[in-house]
Amino acid sequence: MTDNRVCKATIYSESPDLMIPRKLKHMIMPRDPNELGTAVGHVFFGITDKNGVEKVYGLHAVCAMVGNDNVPPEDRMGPIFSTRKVAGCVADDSKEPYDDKLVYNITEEQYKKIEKFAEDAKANPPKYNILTNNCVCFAYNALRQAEVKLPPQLPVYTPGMTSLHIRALDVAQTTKKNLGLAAAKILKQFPPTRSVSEKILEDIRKKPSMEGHGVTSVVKLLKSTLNKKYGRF
Amino acid sequence: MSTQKELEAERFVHRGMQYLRSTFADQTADMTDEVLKNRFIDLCQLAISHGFESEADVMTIVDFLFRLPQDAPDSPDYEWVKDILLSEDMDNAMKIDALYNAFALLTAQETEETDQ
Repeated sequence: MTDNRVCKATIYSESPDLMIPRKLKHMIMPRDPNELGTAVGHVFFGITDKNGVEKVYGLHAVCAMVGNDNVPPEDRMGPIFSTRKVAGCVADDSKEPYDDKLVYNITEEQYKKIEKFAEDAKANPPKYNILTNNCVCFAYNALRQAEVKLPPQLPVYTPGMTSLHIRALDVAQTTKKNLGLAAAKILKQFPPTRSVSEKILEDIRKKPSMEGHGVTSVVKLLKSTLNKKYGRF
Repeated sequence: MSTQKELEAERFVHRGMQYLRSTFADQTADMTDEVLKNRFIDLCQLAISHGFESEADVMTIVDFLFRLPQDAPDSPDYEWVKDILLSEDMDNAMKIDALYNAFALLTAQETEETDQ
């Protein structure tokens, strides 16, 4: 059977500053400290066609983009828990930094569904709301078009949860791979056909790791062996 | 005189100990041969008591249990190990796979907690 999953969809997560392990802080992709995403995180996604060309999309609040300080008052976000919907913008996020990514191998049909969703949104950007339609919601809605299994979220979607689950998946996959390698190594060294007896193992446990047999013991042992074989010696 | 079975078992114990020394060098560094042998046999017997018979299967369980804290088989934190080993709905291969999956998830969770 041929694998027709020749395209890819990728969720990228720029994790909130707080979630970057201290030991990695100086090694992550550089980011603009003035961007909202640096503090709270940002999630965006890419789709790669069968030729390896990737298009990257992300939803932003127009007012939160660097250089857009003069947006009309109705499009300013206001307090963090505001339900106000402000002007949104679907941007090419290919230059955005990220810390975590989750790659799905998808078919061309799935690719086209996501592409249509993304291009429609680019042409007619949805309103942005930090709680109900943020960058994570947009990326998830796009990838839902392909019916892939997405990292779990709480009722309010956050980049933090995305990063958390991608990292957990990474560790879990590595752990399972290592266990698989151990099992393969064992299979090479230990026959799957020869059985082990609990009783014999118990007998082995009782045996000391070293036994000294001096000449007296050896002669005694020899005598008893010969007696068994030929009768009294 | 040792029977063929006894000789095979002795060789198995010897190879098992060698495997543990090379795979878990840090953990076994402070163990004398006697201590390691007894621990190895304990874990083998635990595996056998749950229906694992072949050298490969028994060793796979020993290897797995060696990755857990020594008191894991009796610890309430590792109740899931017992639950999987005692499961009547799974054959040995499924049990090993289930143990691996659970351990992978637990490791992921612990790593996340450590990183934060």
